[in-house]
Amino acid sequence: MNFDNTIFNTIDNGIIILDENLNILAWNRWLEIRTDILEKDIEGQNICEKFTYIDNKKLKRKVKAALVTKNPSYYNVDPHQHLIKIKIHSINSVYEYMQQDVTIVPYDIDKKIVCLYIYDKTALCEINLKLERLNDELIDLSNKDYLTKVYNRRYFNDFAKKAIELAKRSEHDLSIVAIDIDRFKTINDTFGHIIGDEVLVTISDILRNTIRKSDIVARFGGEEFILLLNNASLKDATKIAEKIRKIIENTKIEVDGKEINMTSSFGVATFNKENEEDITSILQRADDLLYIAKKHGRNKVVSSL
Amino acid sequence: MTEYIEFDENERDCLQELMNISYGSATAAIADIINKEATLSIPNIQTVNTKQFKEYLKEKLGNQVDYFITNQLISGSFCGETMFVIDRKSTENLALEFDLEGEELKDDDELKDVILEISNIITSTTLSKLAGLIDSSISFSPPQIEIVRDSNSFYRSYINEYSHIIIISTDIIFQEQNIRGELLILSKDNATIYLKEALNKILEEF
Repeated sequence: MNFDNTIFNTIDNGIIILDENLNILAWNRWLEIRTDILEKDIEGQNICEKFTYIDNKKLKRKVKAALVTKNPSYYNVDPHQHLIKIKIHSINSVYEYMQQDVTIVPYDIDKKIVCLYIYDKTALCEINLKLERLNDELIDLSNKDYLTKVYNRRYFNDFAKKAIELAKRSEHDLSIVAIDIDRFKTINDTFGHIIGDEVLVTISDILRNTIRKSDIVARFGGEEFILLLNNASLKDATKIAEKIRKIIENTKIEVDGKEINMTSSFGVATFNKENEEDITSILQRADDLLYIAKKHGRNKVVSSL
Repeated sequence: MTEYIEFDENERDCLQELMNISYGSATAAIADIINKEATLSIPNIQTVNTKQFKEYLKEKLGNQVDYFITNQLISGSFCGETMFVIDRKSTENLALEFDLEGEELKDDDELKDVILEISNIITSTTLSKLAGLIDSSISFSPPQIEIVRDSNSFYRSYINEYSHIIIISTDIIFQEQNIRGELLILSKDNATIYLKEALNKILEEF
């Protein structure tokens, strides 16, 4: 029995021996089983001609790196995912192909031959992916309002501080819009909390779908929402607020065959660069303007510097 | 955690010299592998403790710029880990030297690959050479990479395992442009003692 050959063909890794021109000199049993390609059929072929999806230039460079530095070079699962496409036959896997880490080591430096060890990292990648998703869910839970899925006050305050710093540095405008649903208490008392919640969710969706990616919306209290509009002058912010006001006014919620009309009031304030004010002060100004909108008949946008 | 191990001026000079020699190997390797003339500037070396290292990271990663950070474990008598820290702009410049173009320069996966490759070349040649000079044998684990924007997301518990960190700052200079990257060597106490003894042995010989 050839001991080396036994290890070569029983180890739980793929092993490929390549010359500097990327011709395959050896291909172990692990690969034969998983690719359905026998060593005798692949020996002598160029790996990049056989598997045309492999980047020839990149692999050649990595082989050269191993030979020049006399140390391993790597073909990592992040970012490459795989070297050889090996189908995964599992209904549970999110991956179509086996995720692989590949280590390229000098095998015979004089003859310029390297050895590639292929490790199956699929299970680990699956776990990492699940953890990433759970982590995203946790972040969402801690940053967002459970009912409306818009941001909460805590997240808003953190975001706003950074946004103000950025606005100062880049000399951009930044505007705040305070929004309050008109007569929300009456809606709740008349139709019940379930319909009240539906109104909150509907208006949240309108706000989220109307603002840009660079802006955020947060729920501040029962029926009060705040928009932070990056790089928006008072004129721009007023226009956006007016657009939202009209959409809300034209949106109806149906309850037992009856339509509920909704309206909202708006206060718009812009970050004052001269005074270098903080977020609390802009919020206060937007809130004061909202109060004026309420006082003057509701369903209005009131803005000022 | 044990007390911070200081290097005296002679030991620091000796380490600087060894690093210069080691970096020479890395320069030659880069030039050979990507067929472009690269030089590495004389490395600036600082030795810091954990607290200073955290402050260094905080300052470095505090300007809202993306950094590509690789790390690699070292096993052997001089054990610990290395990090290579490089900002996005330098990464894109380096990618140009690897003949990436157009959309590839905006593709994080392509950029990650370039950084993994260059950091592996610099780390493995530098540390292997250094290990040879101090009569030590080492091996490396595969490098990991992440893109980091602020130091808070990068404070890991492992930093507390190291009382001694060597920061080696260098410029990789190609014909057209400078690329600034930093190699950090985080050594465990035993490894630091080993390095200190090896440096003194060399100092005694000369």
